[in-house]
Amino acid sequence: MVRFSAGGHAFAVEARHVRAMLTTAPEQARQAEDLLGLALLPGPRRWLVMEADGAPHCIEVAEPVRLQVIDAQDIHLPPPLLAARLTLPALIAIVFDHQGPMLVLDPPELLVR
Amino acid sequence: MTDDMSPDDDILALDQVLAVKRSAAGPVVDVDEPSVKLVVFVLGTDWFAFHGERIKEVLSDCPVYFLPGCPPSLEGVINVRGDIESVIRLRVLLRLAEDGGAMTGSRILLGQGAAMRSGIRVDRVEEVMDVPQSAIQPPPHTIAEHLRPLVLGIVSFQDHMVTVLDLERIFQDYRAGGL
Repeated sequence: MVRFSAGGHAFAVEARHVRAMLTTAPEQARQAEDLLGLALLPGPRRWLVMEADGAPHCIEVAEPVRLQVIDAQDIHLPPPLLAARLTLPALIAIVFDHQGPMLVLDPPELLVR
Repeated sequence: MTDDMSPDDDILALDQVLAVKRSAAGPVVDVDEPSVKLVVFVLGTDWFAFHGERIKEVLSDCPVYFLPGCPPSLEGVINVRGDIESVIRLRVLLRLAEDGGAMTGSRILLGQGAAMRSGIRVDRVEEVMDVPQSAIQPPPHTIAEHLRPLVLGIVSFQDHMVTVLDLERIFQDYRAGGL
């Protein structure tokens, strides 16, 4: 998975959805904080080029951004009551490891909104 | 028959004996009456209970991780031996007044109902006890409107009226967005 930050929280998407990471701002990009309804915090930024619906989408995220191998045993479905009432969009799984929780997002659901 | 054994003395003595017997006899107890296990807990000054079979575990000192997008009724998630469970704030669901942050000594009940499991934050757990089914009375008419669908009955415990809540209904309604 490609791990990144937004609004002070840890997120991830499957690496197969990420085509590239840019270190300079492209012409067009959507902020992850806007897509997720989170506050924009100061700090270094990166841009992830993701594919959804056959088209590239550039998403601005906060550092750190890194490729991370996740053990299957650390991947969990969102608990039913959480899944029903959490207002965060596009959540498909929660990774829980020694660093705490990391929220796994579904790029097609997040980007085609 | 001797001169000092009159029939009236005998009848009076028998009445006295029977009166003593009646006053000494207690109510007949049905030892086969079904009992219900209750987990009694407190939210602020209000006493509540869940049926014991709905509560799998009582957790203390369990770190709760807040997730973005949690409404006020959702405290976050906990890791219970590798299983990730949500934690709901029962006080918020029941629309009780906030307690000004009295989290010290609070507990998380791990509840199960409607094919779901979740942690439930309570201020403290008072008792786990067995009560006769007949001790649980119907809820009074004075109970708040929004609570009525969630209440199974009331029972008296240590001079407190304990409201027995329907955890299955709470989970169902919460998932459906009704609470």
